[in-house]
Order: sequence, then structure tokens, then C-alpha cells
Amino acid sequence: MAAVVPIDGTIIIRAAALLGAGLCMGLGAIGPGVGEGFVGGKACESIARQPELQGPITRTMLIADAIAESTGIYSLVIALLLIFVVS
Amino acid sequence: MNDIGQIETISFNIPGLDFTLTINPTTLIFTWGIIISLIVFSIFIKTRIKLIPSRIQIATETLVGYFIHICKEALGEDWKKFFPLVMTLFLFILISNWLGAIPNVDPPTSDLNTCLGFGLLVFFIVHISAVMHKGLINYIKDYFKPFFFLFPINVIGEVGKVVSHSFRLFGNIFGGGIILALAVPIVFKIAGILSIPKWFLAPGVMGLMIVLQGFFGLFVGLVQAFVFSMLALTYIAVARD
Repeated sequence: MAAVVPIDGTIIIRAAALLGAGLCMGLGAIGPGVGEGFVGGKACESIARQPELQGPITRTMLIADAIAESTGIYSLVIALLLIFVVS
Repeated sequence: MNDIGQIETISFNIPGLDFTLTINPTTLIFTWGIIISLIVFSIFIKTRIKLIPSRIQIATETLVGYFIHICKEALGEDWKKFFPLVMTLFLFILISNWLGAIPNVDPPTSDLNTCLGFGLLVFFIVHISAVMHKGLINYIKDYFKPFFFLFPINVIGEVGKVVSHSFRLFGNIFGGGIILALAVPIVFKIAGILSIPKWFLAPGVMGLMIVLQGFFGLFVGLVQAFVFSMLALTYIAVARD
């Protein structure tokens, strides 16, 4: 017979927090992924059209990537809070 | 796994006052080390400027010249006021991030106190310089544009800039550190489940760690340092318009 683990409130809260952290990171990574891919693709198109503007376009692309990444960073912070503070 | 994310701190009471001071010794030591080494390096370069430059002088001149070019593009004639701030932010964060490429070293930027400190510094500089450049009346008027009732949203947007600006740096560096700390245990755990011998995996794991350290330490560190200083410059330039 398998060992019976007594289930109380803290275990349920811990499980819910860890599950929530995984869901938060996975779902929160969708938006930045789509956004950064879009930015990178458009930057490639503009460099192909005007190769002499490669420097400014790459610089703008990096900043736009960083801004598109913000929501992903927020979800990372929430996931870290759930893992290290709640559980 | 429970020791990931734990930071060693030292707490002590100040005698005579009802106040507990908590410091993070790793962050403090590395921060002062970076400051002192940057000062020593700049003095070393400055005393050795020649007409026929050495290699290190060419590298420094290229870097500084690139940032002067960017500052002139963004700020116009006022670039001299803010160029030292942007350059110093870039150099400090770059060296601090590159420390993370050394195994078992926690860079100062993976501590939220450092990142939030930089974010607040940029926040105060942006708003004080905007008030000094435009005058208080025009500065307050900007919060009621384009409509009168958008005032709360504008204020939230300004506060959100600080949070996203500092948490972007912190999240990237700290998250990279967590991935580095978790990579090897996960590989060995999966190998244990599949009963693959450890000596067979060791060279592959070493190669994986070198690639991961290089990516998260060097590449992400460079990009995040550049992005942090460029966003600071952009905020300053936008607020002064």
C-alpha cells in the first residue's frame, strides 16, 4: 500500500504557488516572443532595403526588443515571488 | 535547490539607536571594486594619451566616440551635460554584468537594490532636468496632454517607467543566474532517470556550461548594459522636448 501523505492547507498553497509560477512564466513568454520576432523580422526587412542604415536600425531594434520584453520580465518577477516568497 | 535566490546578508544594530542595518557584503565589495578599477583604468588611459595611439587607446576612443555620437543625435547641443551619466551607467553595468560570466560570482546587478537604485537615479535626473529646462508650469502642463482626464494615466506611466527600467536589468541578470544554477542539476537528474553514466556526460555538460556562461554573461550582459543606458538617454531626451 502506498504511503499516505497527510494533506493540509500549506501543501495545497505550495502546490498552487509552484503551478502558478510555471503557468505565469509559460503564458507570459508568449507575448514577448511574438513581439520580438516581429521586431527582428521588420529590422531584417529594412536592412535588406537600405543596408547603409544598419547601425541605427540595429540600435533601434535592440531598444524595441527591450521594451517588448517588459511584460515577460513582469511575469518572471511574479513567478519568482510565487516560488521564493509564497511557497 | 532551496538555496537558489538566497542572498547572504549581515545585520547589525547601531548602538544608541533603535535601528537595524542590513547590508549585502558581496554587492558592496564588488560595487566598490568596480568603481575603483574604473577610476584607475581611466587615470591610466588619461596619462598615456599619445598622438600615435596604442591599441587600448584606440579601443577606448572608439567606444567613447560612439557614445558621443549617440548623445549628439538624441540631445543636440546639450549632449555634454548628460554624456558622462550615460557613459558611466554603461561602463558600470557592463563590467558588473560581465562579472556574472565567472562561475560562482553574483554580480552586483543581480541584486535588486543596485538596479532599483539606478532606476531611481535616472528617474530623478529625468524629472529635475525637465523642470529646469522647460520651467515648472510647462512641465506640469505636459501631464494634462492630450486630454485633461488622462492625468492619472500619465502619472502611472511615469512610475511604471522606473519599475520596468530597473526590473528589466534585474530580471535578465538574475534569471540568467538561475538558469545557470539549474542547468547542471537538471541534466544529471535526467541522466539518472535514464541511467546514463556520469563520466559519459561530463564533456558535454562542460561544453554546455561554457556556452551558457558565454551567452548569459557576455552577450546578454552587453545588450542589457547598452539598453539600460540608451533608455536612460531616451527618457531624458523625451522629457526635455
